[in-house]
Amino acid sequence: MDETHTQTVEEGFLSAADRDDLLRTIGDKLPKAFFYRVLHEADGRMRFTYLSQRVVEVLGVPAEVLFAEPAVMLDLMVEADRQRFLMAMERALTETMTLDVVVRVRRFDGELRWCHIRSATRNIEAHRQVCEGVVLDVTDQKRVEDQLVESQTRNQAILSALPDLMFVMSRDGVYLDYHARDMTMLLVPPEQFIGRHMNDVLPADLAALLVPKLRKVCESGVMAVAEYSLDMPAGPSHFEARIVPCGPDRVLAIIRDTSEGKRAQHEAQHNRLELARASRMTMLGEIAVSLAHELNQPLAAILNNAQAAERLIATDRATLLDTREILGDIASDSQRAGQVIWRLRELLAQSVPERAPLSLNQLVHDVEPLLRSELLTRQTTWSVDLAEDLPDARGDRIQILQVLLNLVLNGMDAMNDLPPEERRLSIQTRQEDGTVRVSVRDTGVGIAPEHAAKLFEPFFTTKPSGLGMGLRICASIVTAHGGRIWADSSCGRGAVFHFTLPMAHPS
Amino acid sequence: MTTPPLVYVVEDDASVMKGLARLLRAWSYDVRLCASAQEFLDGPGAGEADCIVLDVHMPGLSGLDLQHALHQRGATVPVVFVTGHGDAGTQLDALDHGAVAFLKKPFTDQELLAAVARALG
Repeated sequence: MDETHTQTVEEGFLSAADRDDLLRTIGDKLPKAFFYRVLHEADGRMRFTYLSQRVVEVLGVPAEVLFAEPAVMLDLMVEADRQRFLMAMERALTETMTLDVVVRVRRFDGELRWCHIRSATRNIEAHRQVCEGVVLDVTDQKRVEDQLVESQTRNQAILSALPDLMFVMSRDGVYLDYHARDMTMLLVPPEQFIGRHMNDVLPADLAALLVPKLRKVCESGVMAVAEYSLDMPAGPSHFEARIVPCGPDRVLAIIRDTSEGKRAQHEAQHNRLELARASRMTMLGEIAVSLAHELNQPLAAILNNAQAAERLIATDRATLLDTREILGDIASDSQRAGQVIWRLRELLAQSVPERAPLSLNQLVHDVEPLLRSELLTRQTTWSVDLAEDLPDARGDRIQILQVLLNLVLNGMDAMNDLPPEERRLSIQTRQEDGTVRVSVRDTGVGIAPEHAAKLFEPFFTTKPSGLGMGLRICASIVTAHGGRIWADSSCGRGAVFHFTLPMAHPS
Repeated sequence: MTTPPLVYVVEDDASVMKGLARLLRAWSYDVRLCASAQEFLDGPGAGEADCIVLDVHMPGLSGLDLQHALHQRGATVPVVFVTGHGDAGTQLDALDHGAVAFLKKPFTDQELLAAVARALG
């Protein structure tokens, strides 16, 4: 069929007149373009001998104007482009070659258009030449090109400013392309990873983490995030990878070095822990005498028992039953002393906080031995009201023990000026609104209304020797656990400090 | 054969009380026990004790409160204080009010026996 068509054209099926008609029709129908023929005389004058209909659409000038005054065409051109056009035309005429130039045209209505002028030059007789060609309005194309260039420039600027590494990878994990602001950000030079699989470039455990994510992103179309550490040439670093789909079967991984943030985060966490520990030490320092007493009691019992046994043996009065009973008491007193030391050690140690199921009733029992002696010394009555079947909270035992100790000691301080028989401290535990609550009530001076709002602010204290950090640290601990701490008080009638923690297993 | 001296141990901590009682009994003292100062005051102790081994810090009435109460009643029973705290103020207060000794826990049998012997004259 093609063959038949070719043959028909070659055989010159159309007459010259038909061809002219056809060209004219095409010329008149071409959108945003016009055909032209211009005659260049030997003396340098030129005149249009043909202009197709669409000239008015492109230049905003009717053909008649150009027929009458061909120079109008040059006048419409932007100055800089006109010079370029004239030079190109001169050369086309001199060398009888094709003219191919793009110029900007300012139409009479003020609109700027980009025109692509392309024509062939033909010598018709001595020193007379004809140029025949087409003028295409390429403004839209030019605009798209400009937008593309602008967009590319903008993207390039963004890319060069971004601190992130970027990798384009196949869904299987082969590196296809990359962007790095600085080559030292790369684990290995590009030639060692482009075209290679992640398994051959990254440590095995990291590749095992990332490769399945690429596949998942491709399948789901949803971004995946991965955090990992890597031993870089400059040292161990921490990264966050955001993996997004990027065309069919490809993903873009944007890698951010989060080492600095992690370091700051660790440092802040470390500082918080240190502060809490310092506060615990201060608190224990305040009750050191009582703690020593709590330790001396079992030690005294052990010594007395051992020396009694010694005496009984020396005087042949030791029965097996007595001896066994004495040894049993010594063992249990040793355990008691050991527990005091163990509780002290855990309060003084700098351990990594953990979130574990935590019985707040047990915590109240645990705090009692640490405070028993202090309560005695301060002649304070202590009572507990623990909810039965209280669900476990979730939290760090030591930190919550610290909060409880702090609230109890504050309560005792608030009652210093009361007669001993009025010093009453009570602890209550309850399950409440999906949380577990602990309340510490004292019968002390209460909280003045002007102090209520500042209780949990740093450096706020009503004690002559207080630093004002205790309640602030309590608030920080409770809040970090997802709980709440607050106080109720009627001035002069005691105060209740409550704190809640989330339940370990919400129902 | 003479009757052994009667020593009252007034101590709220059960373990300590038990240890003290054993030790004193091993040295052939007659020992009676009270878990609080109030229990001593409510009982016959003030009239019959030859010596009191008395803890300082106890719930309710303290050892010093008991010492004052005995003074007020005109009781002259000698007191040996035992304490796990041992702050100087309390010690001075106790000694000023006639305590024979002020022993800090943990103390040896020799210290206790010497103090009790002194109390018994």
